[in-house]
Amino acid sequence: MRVLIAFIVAFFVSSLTPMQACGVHYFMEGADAVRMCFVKPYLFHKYDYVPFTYTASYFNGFGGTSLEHFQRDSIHSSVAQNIALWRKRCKNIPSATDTYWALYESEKEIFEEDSENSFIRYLYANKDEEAIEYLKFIQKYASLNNLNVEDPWERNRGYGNLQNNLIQAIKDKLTIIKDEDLKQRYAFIAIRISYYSGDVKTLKALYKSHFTNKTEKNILTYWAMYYHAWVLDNDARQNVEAALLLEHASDKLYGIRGLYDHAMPMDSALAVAKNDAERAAVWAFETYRNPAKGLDGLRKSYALNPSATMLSFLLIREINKLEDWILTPYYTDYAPALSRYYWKEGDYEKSLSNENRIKRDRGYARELLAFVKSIDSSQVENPMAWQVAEAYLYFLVEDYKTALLKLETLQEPLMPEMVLYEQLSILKALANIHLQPYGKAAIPVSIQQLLMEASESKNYKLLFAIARELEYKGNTTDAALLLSKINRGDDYYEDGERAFWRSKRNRVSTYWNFYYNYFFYLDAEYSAAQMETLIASIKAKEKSHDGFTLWLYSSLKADEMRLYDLLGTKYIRNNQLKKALVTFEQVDTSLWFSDKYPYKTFLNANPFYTNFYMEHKKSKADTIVFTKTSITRQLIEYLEKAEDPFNQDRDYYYFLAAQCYFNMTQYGNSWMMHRYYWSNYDINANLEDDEDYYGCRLAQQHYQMAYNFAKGKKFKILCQAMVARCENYRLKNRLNSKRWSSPGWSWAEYERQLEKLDEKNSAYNQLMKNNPKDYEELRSNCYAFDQYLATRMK
Amino acid sequence: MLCVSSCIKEEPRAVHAFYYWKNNQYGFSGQEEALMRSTKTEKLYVKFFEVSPDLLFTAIPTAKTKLKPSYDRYERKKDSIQMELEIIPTVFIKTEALLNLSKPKLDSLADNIVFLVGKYYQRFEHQKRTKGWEEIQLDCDWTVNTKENYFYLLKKVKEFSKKKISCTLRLYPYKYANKMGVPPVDRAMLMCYNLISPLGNENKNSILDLKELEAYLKGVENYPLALDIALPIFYWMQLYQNQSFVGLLPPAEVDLLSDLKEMKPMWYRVTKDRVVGTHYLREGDDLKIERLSAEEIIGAIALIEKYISLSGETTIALFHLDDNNLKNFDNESINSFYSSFFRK
Repeated sequence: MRVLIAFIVAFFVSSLTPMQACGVHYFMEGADAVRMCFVKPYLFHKYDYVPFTYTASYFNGFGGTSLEHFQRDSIHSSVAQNIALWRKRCKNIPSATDTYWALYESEKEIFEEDSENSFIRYLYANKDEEAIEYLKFIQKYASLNNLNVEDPWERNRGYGNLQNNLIQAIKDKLTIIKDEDLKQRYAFIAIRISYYSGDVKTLKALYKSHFTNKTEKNILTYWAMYYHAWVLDNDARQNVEAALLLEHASDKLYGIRGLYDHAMPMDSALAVAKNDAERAAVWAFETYRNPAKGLDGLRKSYALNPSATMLSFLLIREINKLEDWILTPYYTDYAPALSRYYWKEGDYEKSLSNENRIKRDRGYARELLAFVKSIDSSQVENPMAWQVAEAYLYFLVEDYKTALLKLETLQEPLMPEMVLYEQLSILKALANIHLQPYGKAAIPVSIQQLLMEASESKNYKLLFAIARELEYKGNTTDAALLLSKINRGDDYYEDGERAFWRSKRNRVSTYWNFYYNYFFYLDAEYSAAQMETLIASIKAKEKSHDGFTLWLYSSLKADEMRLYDLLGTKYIRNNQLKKALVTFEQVDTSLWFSDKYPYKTFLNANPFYTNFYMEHKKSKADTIVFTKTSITRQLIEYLEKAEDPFNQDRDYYYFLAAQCYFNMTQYGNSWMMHRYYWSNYDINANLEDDEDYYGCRLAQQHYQMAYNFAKGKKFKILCQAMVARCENYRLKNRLNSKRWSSPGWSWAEYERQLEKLDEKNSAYNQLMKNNPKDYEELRSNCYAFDQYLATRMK
Repeated sequence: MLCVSSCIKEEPRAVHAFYYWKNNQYGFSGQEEALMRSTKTEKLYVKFFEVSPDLLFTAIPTAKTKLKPSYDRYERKKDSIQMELEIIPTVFIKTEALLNLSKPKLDSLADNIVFLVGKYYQRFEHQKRTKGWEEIQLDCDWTVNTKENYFYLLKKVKEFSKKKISCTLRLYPYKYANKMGVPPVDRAMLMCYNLISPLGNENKNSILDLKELEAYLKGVENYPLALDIALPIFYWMQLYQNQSFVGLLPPAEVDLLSDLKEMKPMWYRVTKDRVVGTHYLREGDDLKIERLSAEEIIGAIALIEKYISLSGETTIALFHLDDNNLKNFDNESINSFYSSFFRK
């Protein structure tokens, strides 16, 4: 039965959102699932560096090299530079796309005179025969040229002949060709092939004659340098060149990483660097994978070469780190994603974490801000990256007003359709919400459109952050409305910035101690009063027609019945039965019998019957299907009779009420009156009714009342036995609380304490002492309970 | 005559040795060199490379050594200790690299191993002690499934190299020789450490636990190979973030302890943010530092001598030579590990 319950409850959860799938997928995603990142790094630096932007994974995925990427401007800058070089040769007349296509995607036919490709047509029209011959040549040898084969066992076997012949053919061509640009291109190909064939001598000779000491450096220079660097005898110089390549030929970045020897002290590389630009590149290389504070490297790189392209990358990496260190714990209550490559859900010790760490990391944000303010933006390669960073740093150091002002100034000249415009709008929205005073926060009109777009593009983390801030500012209604809009994708596995978060008060309403779905979060965190305000707001907006309100309220409007159910359940938790009844009466009866939710599975047992032995079992006499409404109504009726001083059967009604209270606990057949999740395991839920739900407080009180009014001996003993049973759960709940608040407790110690519970149970001890035979009978004979109860049946 | 030959026993002697497992160093540090000198190290088992599975080439060498004793980048003197050492090329073979290999492929692998070892050994050819290499050691955690291939490979490496061949021997195959087989080698190096899973037991030291060691040693009689002994002097740190194991930290370049607070034996809490390797340690993270005391190693030696009858020249190799490991033991302690053998 318990297995079944666990299964069905999981189904129940999944009927709302794919929570179960979420659990699995969550871990697959790793720590980035909780990482907060609002500044999109690729907007501010070369796309090439995307793999190394700050992430909890080892690498970020790189888009790839295809026409689509080319057109979307998300291709390696080296490729773009190569295309630019070719177009320059053609006086920029052919289109960039045609040039790209001819160089990287073309079939053989394209190199004919009647080609439709504007780049090829231009070459023919201008009789650039050497260029055409070159293109045909590289196409012919493309497969060999791409033969990225190493010789792992260093035996110089394999591809030598073909490669040697090709190198020789290129050497022959180099003696004939006049065009310097094409000479370099041929020489580069020969260098690459000689590298793979292990012909170091040829490689060095070709490099020396065609690339060394050339004043004008282009992408070919750096591509050639890449292969030359591998065969350098000087390891320190090799590091310098690897660093330069990261700056200038970042399409080779995976290889470059292997080229750089991190074991070598940085000073060795700095000592052989020829100029400040080279020294800056070394500093940048030492910094670009640093998972910790990288301001020193950034500062040094800037001082040596303020126009280096790596700088904007390093800067935005620091910004993304700060977002992770400050905003991840701030919004989600998780530890920062850090550089954990293997990560799973775990308890995060708050005393060590959030407040202190955030405070300290804001200090680092201040340091970074001071540096960013000190730079000369006319010298840096991408001033916008620095300006955005500065504005956002004001946000990270909690100067929201300045942040907003600066962001607005930056956004003013931009067109709304620009990506950067949207980026700034996101940052402005965050600042806007933070600026509002506690108790008066609302969703500003200015960000409404942005929120709807974020929902459309599944940028759920933004919606979540805004919701969370509203919650912190006391506007739990709008917070709940926004939370209802997140993580709603039909296809769970499709891309989207899903949000996961934890309760600041460590409240747990499901098996998982994190939240993904608004309902369970409201279940754990919202008070009945907050729920009332939320429901009233939904009612008030029923007739509203503006687009944003319709969008904002649509999800909760659709779930309105469940909200009433939730509110009623919260009243039950507070033992406010009349309020609960009024609320449950608002619920359309169809909800209780819907196949979508498992009420009819878990509320179809007689809540006024339980015995000494059973937990979670239906009573044999069940014929009625109960609902939360009918149970509450009946309980109120029994309580009224129990509390009526003129009623002759007060003991009996107290007993029935006690039975119901018992059944509404973790151990009873109507646990859904209090919870939406049931587990065989004890959960440290921290909800307001834990003492009732796990500790049977109300049940015990009412059994005690029944005992007090009981006249018949057997019934009195029965009441006492149930008081004792409740006492056992109370003691166990207390023990659990102790265990959860003392992490050092071993399981063995817990079990030892658990065994002692009976000894500590005064009700049991009294029963055993005064009525040992009855005690034994009730314990050992499973029919005894009904026999004892029959003595008092009306 | 019969009596004489069977009664004369070679005087036991411990040959002092280290493993050198780093593949990113060009030469020894001054401290490493001083240690080898003070401990009169005779042999150095240098990991030349590892053999990893590869889709294109079946198996490829990875983590190749950069060690070049003649390397003068750090202005080494020609009379340095390294010139006196016997270098034993050691090749670590990943078990996965042996799966599903046909005999011709194993032949080719053996041929490649011998070729590459020979090539790298040229860097050491000026060693005074030896002319060329005399022995090769293969290190592999073989399984029942890979036993046949591994043993075949061992035979072939010996056949192609025409050298002495030794291999490492974990305690499990030592104890369960019937199941795991006896490798076809001239000698075996019994590795007396890493007996339990590193994450298996939070309260046990997974590098060496004397009770575990004794359980493995006890009851094995007359293992059919001449044995050398490898003992651990390394230590490591397991990093836990959000109470989950994140990874092993590389030996810290500087002493971490000042930024740690001891919580219970072996367990420390990070008190200050810092970077170690690629990991960013933050306040509140936990570290399990597993290291051994000299007494524990001496205790292990006593157990080894109690249960194994060592005779003749027995190599005692310490794993492994590294500046960081030396922070854990002084030279005197390390010397005592060698001299504790054959005292009786």
